[in-house]
Amino acid sequence: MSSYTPPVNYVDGTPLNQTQVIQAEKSLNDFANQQIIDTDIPDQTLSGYNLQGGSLDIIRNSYSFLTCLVAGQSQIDDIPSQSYHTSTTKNNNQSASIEWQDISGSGVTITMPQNGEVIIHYYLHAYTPDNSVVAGNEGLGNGKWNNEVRLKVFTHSNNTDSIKSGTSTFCFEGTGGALDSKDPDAGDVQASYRSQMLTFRVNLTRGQYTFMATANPHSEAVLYTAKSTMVEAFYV
Amino acid sequence: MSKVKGSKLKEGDIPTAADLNEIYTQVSGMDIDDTNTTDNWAHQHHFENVPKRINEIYSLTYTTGSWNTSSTTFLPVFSQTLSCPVTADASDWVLRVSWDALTGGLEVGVDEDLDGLYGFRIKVGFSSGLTTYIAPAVYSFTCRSLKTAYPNLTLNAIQWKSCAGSEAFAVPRGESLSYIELEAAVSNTSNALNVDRINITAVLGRK
Repeated sequence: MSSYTPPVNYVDGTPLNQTQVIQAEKSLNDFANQQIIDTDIPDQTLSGYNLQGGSLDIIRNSYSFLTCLVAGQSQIDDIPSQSYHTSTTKNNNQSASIEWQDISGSGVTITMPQNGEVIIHYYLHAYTPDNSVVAGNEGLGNGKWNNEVRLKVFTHSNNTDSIKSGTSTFCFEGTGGALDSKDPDAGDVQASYRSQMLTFRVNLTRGQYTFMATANPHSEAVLYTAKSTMVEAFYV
Repeated sequence: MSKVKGSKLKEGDIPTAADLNEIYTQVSGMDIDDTNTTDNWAHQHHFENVPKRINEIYSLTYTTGSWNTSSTTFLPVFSQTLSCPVTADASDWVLRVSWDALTGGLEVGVDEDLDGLYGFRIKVGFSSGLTTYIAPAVYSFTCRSLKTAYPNLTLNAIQWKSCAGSEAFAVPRGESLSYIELEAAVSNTSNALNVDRINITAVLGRK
């Protein structure tokens, strides 16, 4: 290693000195037993083969690399399966009694061996059939009820949910009377047949987490298809 | 494979100065590289987390109020800039940026053909002043995108729409990264784009 300088230089014709021999061997011994430091390894000298190999977790569909973990699900090429959601209550600008309903097939679970930064991407498709129960809406007719989707992070260690602000996406029941605070404006198809995409980052401590999309529906019926979810956890 | 060879002396030999000095000379000239390290020796705990990480992660979430533009010039949404100062080093970098945005209430004056569009793109800025644009996405204000009056449709904007884009980019070697911005513009000043919130995530990987 470049940081070692021999303390003794033996010369032909000069008798060996016990002190010098002990000094030389001790310096070599001390140097060989010290920690390897950053300057001992020049840039661009190691290869990928030196790095810890990755491992595949088939059950969780995740792969652990040296620097990160990648996990996900994809149903883009599959026959779409839809999860059905219905509203728990319909009120203008509903802010109370909100029930978040997790979207089937959107969830991904990871186990983080150390603290890290996690990026989540998901792609959903949402479809709201027209609400045919006109009389049931307190006589107000088909309305612009919005169905909201957000990212939920479930922490297994303490069984707590965290529904993230800044992740809202929407699809709507229709474009009738203004009954809710958000107006889809466009025709029924454009209001109620939507792709929804998200990219988001959270910092998490060591542990097990499940990431999923969760819906707060206002419609009589809204159908979600979880197209793909990808989670990347970075450690170094 | 070891770079420090064993002694060639055997009983009865009279060593020369060169023989005795050899092992010390070998050690002083030794480096650790691919020829004297075994496979799979480096694990996560060997690598530092600060200051120089293998992966640098950046993100921006902005949800305060809403942002409007009727400009045909691309402008940073919410006037927000994601600062990511990273000084160039000997490694090669790959930058991957993903973004999503939620539109709010839009205003449509003209929607025929290319007039009825709005677009987003990511601007990547470097300390040298170099800029590059990646991850574009273009959308139509209404359900009509062609220059036709048929079918007759009410010019209703598609509001509260989810928009997104993503792209990986090989950073020119030697360039120091400075910032990332999500920009937006409309194709006709008679229209107004309203954005309710944005998310940007970026991963800078060293290789």
